Amino acid sequence: MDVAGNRSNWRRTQVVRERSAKPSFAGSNPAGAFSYEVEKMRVGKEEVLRIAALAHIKIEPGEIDHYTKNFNEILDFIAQMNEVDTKQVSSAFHPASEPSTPMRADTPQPSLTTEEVLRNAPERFADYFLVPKVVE
Amino acid sequence: MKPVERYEAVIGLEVHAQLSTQTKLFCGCATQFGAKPNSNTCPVCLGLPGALPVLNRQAVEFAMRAAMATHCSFVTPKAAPHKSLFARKNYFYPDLPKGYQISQFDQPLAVNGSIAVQFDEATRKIGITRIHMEEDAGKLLHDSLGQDADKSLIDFNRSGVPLIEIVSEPELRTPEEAAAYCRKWRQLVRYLQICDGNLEQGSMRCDANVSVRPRGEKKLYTKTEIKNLNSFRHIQKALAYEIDRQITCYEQGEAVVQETRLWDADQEVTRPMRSKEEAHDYRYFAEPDLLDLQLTSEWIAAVKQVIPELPDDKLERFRQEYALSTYDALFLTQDQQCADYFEAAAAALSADKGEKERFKEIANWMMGDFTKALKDYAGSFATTKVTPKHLASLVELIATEAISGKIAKSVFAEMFQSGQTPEKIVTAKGLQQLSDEKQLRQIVEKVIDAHPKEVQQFQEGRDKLFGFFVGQVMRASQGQANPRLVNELLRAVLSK
Amino acid sequence: MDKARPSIKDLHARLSQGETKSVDLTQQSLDHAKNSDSLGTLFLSLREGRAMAAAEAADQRAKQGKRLGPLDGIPIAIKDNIVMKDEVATCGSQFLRDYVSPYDSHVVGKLKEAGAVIIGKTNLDEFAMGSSNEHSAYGVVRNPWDRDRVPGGSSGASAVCVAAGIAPLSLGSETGGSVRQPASFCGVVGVKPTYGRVSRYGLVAFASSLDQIGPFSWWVEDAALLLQVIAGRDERDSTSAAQAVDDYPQTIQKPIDGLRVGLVRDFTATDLDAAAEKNFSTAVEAIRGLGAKTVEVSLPHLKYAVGCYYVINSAEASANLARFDGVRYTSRSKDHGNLKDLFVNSRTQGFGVEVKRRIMLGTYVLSAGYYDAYYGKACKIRHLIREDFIKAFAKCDVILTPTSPCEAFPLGAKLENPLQMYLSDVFTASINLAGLPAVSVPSGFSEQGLPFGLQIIAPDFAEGRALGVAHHYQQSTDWKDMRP
Repeated sequence: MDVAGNRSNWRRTQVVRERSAKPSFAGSNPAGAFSYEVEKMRVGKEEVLRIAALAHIKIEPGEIDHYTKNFNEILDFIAQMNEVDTKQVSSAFHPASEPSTPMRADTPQPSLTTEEVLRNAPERFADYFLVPKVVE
Repeated sequence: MKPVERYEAVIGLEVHAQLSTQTKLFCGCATQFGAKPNSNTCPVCLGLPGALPVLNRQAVEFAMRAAMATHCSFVTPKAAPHKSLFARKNYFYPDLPKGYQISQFDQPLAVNGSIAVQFDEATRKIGITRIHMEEDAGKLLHDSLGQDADKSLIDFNRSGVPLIEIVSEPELRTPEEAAAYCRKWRQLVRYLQICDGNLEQGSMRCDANVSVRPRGEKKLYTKTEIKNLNSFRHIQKALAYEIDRQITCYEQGEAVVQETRLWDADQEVTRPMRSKEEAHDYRYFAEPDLLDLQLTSEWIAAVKQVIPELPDDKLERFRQEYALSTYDALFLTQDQQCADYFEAAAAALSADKGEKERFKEIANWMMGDFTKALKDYAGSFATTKVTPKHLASLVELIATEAISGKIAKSVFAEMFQSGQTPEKIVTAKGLQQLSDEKQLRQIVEKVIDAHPKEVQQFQEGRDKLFGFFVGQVMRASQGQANPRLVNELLRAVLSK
Repeated sequence: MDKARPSIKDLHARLSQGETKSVDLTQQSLDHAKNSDSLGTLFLSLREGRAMAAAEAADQRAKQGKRLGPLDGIPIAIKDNIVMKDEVATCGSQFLRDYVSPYDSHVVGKLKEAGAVIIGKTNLDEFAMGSSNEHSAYGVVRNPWDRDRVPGGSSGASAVCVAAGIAPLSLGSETGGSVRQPASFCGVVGVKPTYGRVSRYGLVAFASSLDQIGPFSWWVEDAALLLQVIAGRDERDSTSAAQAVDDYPQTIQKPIDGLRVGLVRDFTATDLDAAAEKNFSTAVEAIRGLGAKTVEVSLPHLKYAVGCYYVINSAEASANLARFDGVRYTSRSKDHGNLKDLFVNSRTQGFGVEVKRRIMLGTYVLSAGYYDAYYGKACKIRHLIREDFIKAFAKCDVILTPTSPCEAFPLGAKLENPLQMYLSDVFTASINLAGLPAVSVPSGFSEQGLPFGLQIIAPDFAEGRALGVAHHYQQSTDWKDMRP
């Protein structure tokens, strides 16, 4: 089976974004060294808290150090990627084998019943989901 | 110079149009309005675990129509097949079931088009930056619970309905122009039959980005985004308010804060939105559950075939072919049904001399009595009982002096209610114009004989009494006397 | 007495001839499942009544000579992140502890069509994030070969079910090795299909461009059979491949004489335990003994695979798990004053530590200012990794590696150090990045009596070829006769 012929076009082009550059990764810790000084961290506690807030997760004060440490170890390891010269790589890769997204006809299909829809709702009111008031 | 004259406004509009497909963008749930809450939903549009999106072909075609009608380019590469990508726009909100909206970011459907906006007797071409596809969110209802007013209700029927987002270049300069731009889009989406363009009901929505700058400067100053503009009037008022507010800021040495503001229609002010304090980091990335959207040249050609004559072209054609004024042509082409009605009526006229005047007459009827009746009875040119042929006949009856213009009005009112042909109504009610000279002469002479005093006064110079005699003749003939002949006869008799 | 466990072929014959009944097989499976406390929490739900009813229906069909196929009446367990209508799908999380799915996943539909008897939903690392099944909210799973060791993850319990003989087949899911690695640790066969080969409709998404559902079995031919049933285009999954499905049970019979087998020269000694390395060499020798020719191949970007994998999987997961918010179908935090609290508290209480860690990592790598450096970069490296494989496959028909750098590690050994845990994906994650198929087949035991696995990687849609190598290898070894 000739593999080179299959999937020879890279489907995903890079999402181009004008963003400010992150400070350089010079001097990253080798993957083997796991002892860590909080001060030398790539990502500080405030940043970790900001990311958690963005992800709608709360980190308790007692946990913040632990999360920050793990976070930095992982990021340091990932920073290895910077060794690779990707300037010539024009696109990312998605492993799906079809060249374009399948499309369906505009024909209505049966929906779920309202009971099925609300079956797992933590709180409901008549046929609606119920949440605390949304303030604009 | 007054402050407002020292500055110019820079306005860009984002219009969202709900596409009138049968089903949603990524699933087969029905899009029909007004269903019982949470009854048109499925694992996909509810964002249940394990559900996956599948693209609606018809929605893409509708979007393509909008793009092609505004001369946009399909994106990458330059030659077909073009590729467009979907992306996840990530944020948390209770009406957003997946915690992300499937939208388009990089490589949207179409870019760099333009639309001609007729405003204040001038036409300006406004640039379209991009048109992209995305799914709608569910609907949040507040205050429906009476005492339990600290809760909100969510209905996901609307979640997943297909939208196109149309972003204009910041080339609009006044609130009136902005409203005209929006109206133009409403007209266009209705012509293309892709959306019903109803701002009040929300099938079309408009957000504005507005900044001001000293007149003559080219750089862009801080802009604010204005939301909750749900009528053309509100668009105009809100923009006027905001422009004024920003000018005042600058005049007082304050900075304009980049923020999103809501138009408060009751207080008629804009105010900052509370939930938008934190700047949104949408963390866009290419949607991994969908592959590239490919637009082949065959598909593009097929869609081109179904695009009807567009409003601007039709306007021009009406001016030429029917010798109508721009005003009349604009009125008639505002809406495809109205335009089609006019053309059908025009076609139903018998090929005769005086056609041009008759086109104008048809136009006048449509712009006048007909539109008023439609409004009073909540009708439309598409559903009215008056057929184009009937209208054409009515116009011809007047032109041939079978009935007078005045009588025609009551004939029309009858046509509108009953759907009867004008000929039948005239016959049934004996409304034919009386044009028989002999009979008219008899009536005229009777009137003259009955009012010798007025005759004498007229002959002594009271010209205004002529109208009195006309009136008397009309009364004596139940309003059916041919006014032209009456005039001639009276003049002849009275000048003796 | 036949030392080997019965294959599906054997069971098929017995069921067809009336020697065995599906209700007996199913009852045995259920009883075994209920008496396996020593193996930890294997099942998050057992379908007792419904499974028995399905078994009875299968027996009826057998009596009438109308069996639906080889899987008719066969008990099978499925991982609890694969949804089934009217059954709870917890995904190993507190957040979904009461979530009942209103629809069947595609693979469940296929299993039902084939008459398979689904006995229950197996435990997993929460939302499939983990390599040891220690991150479930419902308790750990223990390796049947040594109960103080992990079974691997995230599909640990599915692997254990087959290893312990509770069911002859099970389904797991893969994102970076979650079928192959537990297969290796538990001494069973595990398959990761080509991306798009099996529909993801109904698989609770972890990383959309990496996820695939895959079979566990004792016999390679059984995995081939199960794969054939669940594979194929599903129009509800836009990433599902239209490629025709091979007759895998047929394909695997083809002898492997002259097959070119690639050996990767880029992993260094430090990547592998000595015992694992020795086991691998022995296995390679055995493959040569079957007529295959080995050739050296290079995958120069392999060392970046784990980092690349973690950036991509966490980015996609951070978005895929945003739907779990306390609003529509998850458990909801009791303490919520306002809407924001509802979201934050529900998610904070609902998700375990590893899941939160992954979500945050994903949020970070996608966030403004960091996108190009992390996610953007990882996507490009993924492209390079894929190209490495394509180039290698120009020289060989399959590539061999050990499935795991080590044998099953003790429970708790890597919990404190997530990065160490991630590194166990070193041989498996690159395959998911490239979208290729791979099979892990048992390749022997360590001195402590813990299993090793041999990984056979094939080009796109050539899982039949990989299964073939695995099949012939399995036939030539004694490992299948061992029991935990």
